[in-house]
Amino acid sequence: MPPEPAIVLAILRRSLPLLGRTAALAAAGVGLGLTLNLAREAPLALTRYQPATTCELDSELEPMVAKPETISGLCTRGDVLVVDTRGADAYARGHLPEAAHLPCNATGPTADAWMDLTGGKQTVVVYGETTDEALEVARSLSSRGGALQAYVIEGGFEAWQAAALACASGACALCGEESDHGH
Amino acid sequence: MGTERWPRLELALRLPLALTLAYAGWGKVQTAAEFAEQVANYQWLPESAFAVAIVLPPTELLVACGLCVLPARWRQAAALLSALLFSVFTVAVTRALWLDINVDCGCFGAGSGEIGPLTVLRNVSLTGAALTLVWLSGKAAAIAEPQAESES
Repeated sequence: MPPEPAIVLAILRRSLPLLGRTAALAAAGVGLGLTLNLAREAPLALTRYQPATTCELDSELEPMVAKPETISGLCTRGDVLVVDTRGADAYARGHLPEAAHLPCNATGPTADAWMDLTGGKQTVVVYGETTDEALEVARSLSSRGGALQAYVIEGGFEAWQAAALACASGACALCGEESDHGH
Repeated sequence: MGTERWPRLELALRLPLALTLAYAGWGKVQTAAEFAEQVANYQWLPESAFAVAIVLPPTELLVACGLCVLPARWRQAAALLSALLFSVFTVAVTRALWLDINVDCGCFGAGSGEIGPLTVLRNVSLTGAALTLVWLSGKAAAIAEPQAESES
């Protein structure tokens, strides 16, 4: 049974002074925060957050290992590059939709060429036969500075398939660009 | 329980809460840029990480001061605001654990350690303590200002 409107109104009326004081304290906190920020030597910009870029391998950029179900949410975003580190045969048999093929034994220039494709992308998702194999590639990509955050699929492609998530097969959709770079 | 015990109970609860908030706020104020990164790592409205890093730590410090020095009615408001803050922290940590996101807590600035079930438990306890303080502060205010209470 819903409460009587009169009772709700009475409770609201009684709570209003407390809510008003709470809002006033919160507003004072915001004001204090903005003032303190202006007083900093290097104030934070009141803009959309962008992670700092780096050209060095940094422990802060250590790839995050996550389960396929978690990664699948990322893959729908437009700013994500998906990278497959397995061999060419395994890639042809099946891979994540729109995954770029960058096997572990790719040369440095090839990796650099692939990183050009990350232009404007915020995130790289890497997977391989195993978690460790993908981690090495993810660390390498992070250290090149093009990727702001790297994720690794825990358990590799096998775990992705086991989770019954969407897959694709056939030749690499981006292989034209890949071969242009001598791969 | 005699009404004379409410103010003492309130004092016993608000001082630890104020110290916790002051410690947390101070740690974050000193490392605002790093705190913004930690906020973004939660992947919950990451684009607002700078705004959170600018506003949250000073608000924690303000609430901590308020719990210590403000009159009873305003202490009640500070307690309510701290309960809201702890609730949001609890939701953020629980969500990150649920999504298997491996992040540093950032609860007390740099070096707070990774989040885990104990972090959730701590935040739930703090939320409960803060809500209890809202109730106790109301009691204490009624004793300290009986006239105002009867008018409201």
